Amino acid sequence: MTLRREGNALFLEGSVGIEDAWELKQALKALKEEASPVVDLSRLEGLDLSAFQLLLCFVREKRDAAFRPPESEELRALLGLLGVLRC
Amino acid sequence: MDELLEGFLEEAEELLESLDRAALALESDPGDTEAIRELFRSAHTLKGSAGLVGAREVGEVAHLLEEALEGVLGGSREFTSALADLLFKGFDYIRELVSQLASGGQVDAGRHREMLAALAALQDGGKAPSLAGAAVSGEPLPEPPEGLREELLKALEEDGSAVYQVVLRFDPQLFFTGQDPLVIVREVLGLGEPLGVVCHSEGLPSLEDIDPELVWVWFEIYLKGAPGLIPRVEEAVEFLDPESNTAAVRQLTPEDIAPAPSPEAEPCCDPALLREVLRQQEVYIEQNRGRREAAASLERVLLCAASALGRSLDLPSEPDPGWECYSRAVASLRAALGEASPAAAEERADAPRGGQHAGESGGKRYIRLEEGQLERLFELSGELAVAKNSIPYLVRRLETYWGLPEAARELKEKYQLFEQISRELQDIVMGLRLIPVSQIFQRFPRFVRDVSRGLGKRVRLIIEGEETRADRAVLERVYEPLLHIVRNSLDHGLEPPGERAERGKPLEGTIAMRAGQSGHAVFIEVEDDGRGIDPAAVRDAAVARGLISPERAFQLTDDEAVQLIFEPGFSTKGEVSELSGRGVGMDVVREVVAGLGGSVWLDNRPGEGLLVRLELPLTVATKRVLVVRCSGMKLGIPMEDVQEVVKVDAVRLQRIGAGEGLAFRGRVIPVRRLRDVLGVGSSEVGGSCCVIILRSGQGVAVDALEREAEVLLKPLPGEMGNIELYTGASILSDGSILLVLNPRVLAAGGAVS
Repeated sequence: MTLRREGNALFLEGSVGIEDAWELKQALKALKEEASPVVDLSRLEGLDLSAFQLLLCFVREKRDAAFRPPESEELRALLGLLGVLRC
Repeated sequence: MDELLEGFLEEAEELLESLDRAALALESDPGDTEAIRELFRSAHTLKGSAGLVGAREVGEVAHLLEEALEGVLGGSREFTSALADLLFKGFDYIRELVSQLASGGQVDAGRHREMLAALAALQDGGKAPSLAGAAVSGEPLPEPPEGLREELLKALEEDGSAVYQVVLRFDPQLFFTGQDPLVIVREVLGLGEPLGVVCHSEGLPSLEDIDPELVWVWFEIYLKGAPGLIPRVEEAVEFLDPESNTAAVRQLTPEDIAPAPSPEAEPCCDPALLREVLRQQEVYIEQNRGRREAAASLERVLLCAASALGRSLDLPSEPDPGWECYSRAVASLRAALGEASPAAAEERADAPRGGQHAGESGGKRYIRLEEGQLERLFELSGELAVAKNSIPYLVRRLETYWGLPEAARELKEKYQLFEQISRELQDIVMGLRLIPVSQIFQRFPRFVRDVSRGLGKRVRLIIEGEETRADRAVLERVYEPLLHIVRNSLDHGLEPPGERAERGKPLEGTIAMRAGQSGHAVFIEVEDDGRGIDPAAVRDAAVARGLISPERAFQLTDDEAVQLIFEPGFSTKGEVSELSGRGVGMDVVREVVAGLGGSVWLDNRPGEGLLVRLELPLTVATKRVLVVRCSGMKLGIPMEDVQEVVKVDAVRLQRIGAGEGLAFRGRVIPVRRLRDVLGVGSSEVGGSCCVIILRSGQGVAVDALEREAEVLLKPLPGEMGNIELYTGASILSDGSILLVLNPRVLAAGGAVS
């Protein structure tokens, strides 16, 4: 997984697994401080439930956050079904 | 302990008793519709209350019981003995869970799963199970969410399609087993066409607090697919440990996907149950009014009730201090149920209420009290009764010692008022102490049923006089002895059906438990129509156990021989039976009853039956004693043990063998001189003396009688408590201490201290 921060945007790339959970948590906490944060999932290839739960926490607490959906259709559909991506 | 939990524990106990009672009634009369309603109602209330306090396991079991009973309630299923057995198993298991909750213990997940599986099997014996997943997990499945129902119904209408609901709850530590729950969710989603997913994130902590290596959410998945999808779902979850994960699936029918009620629609659940829930909330409001920490759960229930009625409820963000907003909310919901106008309902909010928390209605209001406070009230009222007795003594002192007759008269007048108030207070307090015998009798039907079935005997239990009231302390202590007596009747007394047939008795044996009041005492009887006690067998057993010599056994009358069953270590059984031949014997029964100041009587009819009668004091708070003088000391003898008092010339006491006796009304009463028992003064006293004839038949010679007195008996402190000769002490009106003698020791020639 690669985590990259550019301004108010956080980029999640590759596959996010349990081993990345604490790093992702810190990154999302830092992003929460931004006024209109953006989470870019376009190059996300996979995620596990730990990452999903962290994204859910973030969505719940940061209502003005924007998400750039994954290019993977299956991932996009999954995150849409599970309520992380608000269409 | 949390007050809400404390309330639940008490309520659960009452509901379990009600469940037991109703199941027993239904077993004996399967057509008893009121019993089935009571069963269903109690199971439902238990489930709801468990949910309020977070007792999930209790709620799960109650839910399954409720489901199992639905068929019986609807008339599509018979109430069989097998069903009763499993219900009782469920009740006992809930008792176990409640007891664990009370002690703060942990639920054994394996056992819980086993029990749920057994109860799910119970459902299978009835209606077609709607929860295919129950076999996988034992977990009841939630109703589809309102927002999805239309789409689910639409999908169902399409030809050849089936709609499934899958619930996945994961072990919070699943990541540590190397598994990813999301992989399983995705796999399940891939088995059909996803119609919706509900991700339950109620337990999800904040981003700040979350431990991301634990699982916090669970899923409810709706799929459209071809029939036969259930085995494929089961395959997808087969690697999950069923002890710590839940995976359940069911095929939905249109009835499962009930349309959400419109605002004007009928209530979506049974109005009677809603009424009951609202009534309970009134009690809750009454008991918790103004308690901030109690408001949240109340609001939750009220909002649920409003939602069930298709109503909205406008609750203020900060409730008014008197909680009137909640009373109004309940009243408006009751009005919506068509019970009464809101105004009338509001009026009723101030009127007497009934129910499990509040007792029966009928113009009375009940409150719960901490037992310790009540005990203290009993003590204080007893002390007050004793303290007031010092006033006549002061009156006499004012008159004779101080020469103030006017002051003495005024004090005497005040005393009369004081006496009247004190007596009234005593009566009220006495009433508080007294509980109906039914509170212990009601535990026996279930006990008799279970034991008799285990023994292969048919037994009918008759209960009479259960409305008789007695001191709670007396009844609580007498419960174990009664259990032993009934157990003896079941095990030794009543014959097996074959033997009864040979003797020309009905195949069904009878045990009657009766209670009644006689003067200042209550009696409890247990009578069976079994074998009775064979005096010859008792003699043989007593000799074999070395309790008496063969010569002595030969001399005993049959009635005397039967009394040997009260000897420690007595048993007529060659082998110890699983049921009643172990440890506790009739000696303990007599000891407990005697410790309460009561006695045990037998009426034995060999071959026909046995009657055991316990005579007990109405209360153990205050005692009436006969104050006697002996060698300058004042001592008390409990009045309930005094049969008669005779004033005689000391010369009438005649030496008989090693002791003395008094020829009285044609028979000789054995007499012990109290001076000898106490080891004080000369035992040869001339002049007159008083012989107190105890109910045991023993006479006790004292120097003089003083008077009768009501005393508050307290145990002797420290080492003195071990002196068996005294049952306790009290303070007399003149401030002196009165030691109260133990009549049993007097009768048995007990140790001199």
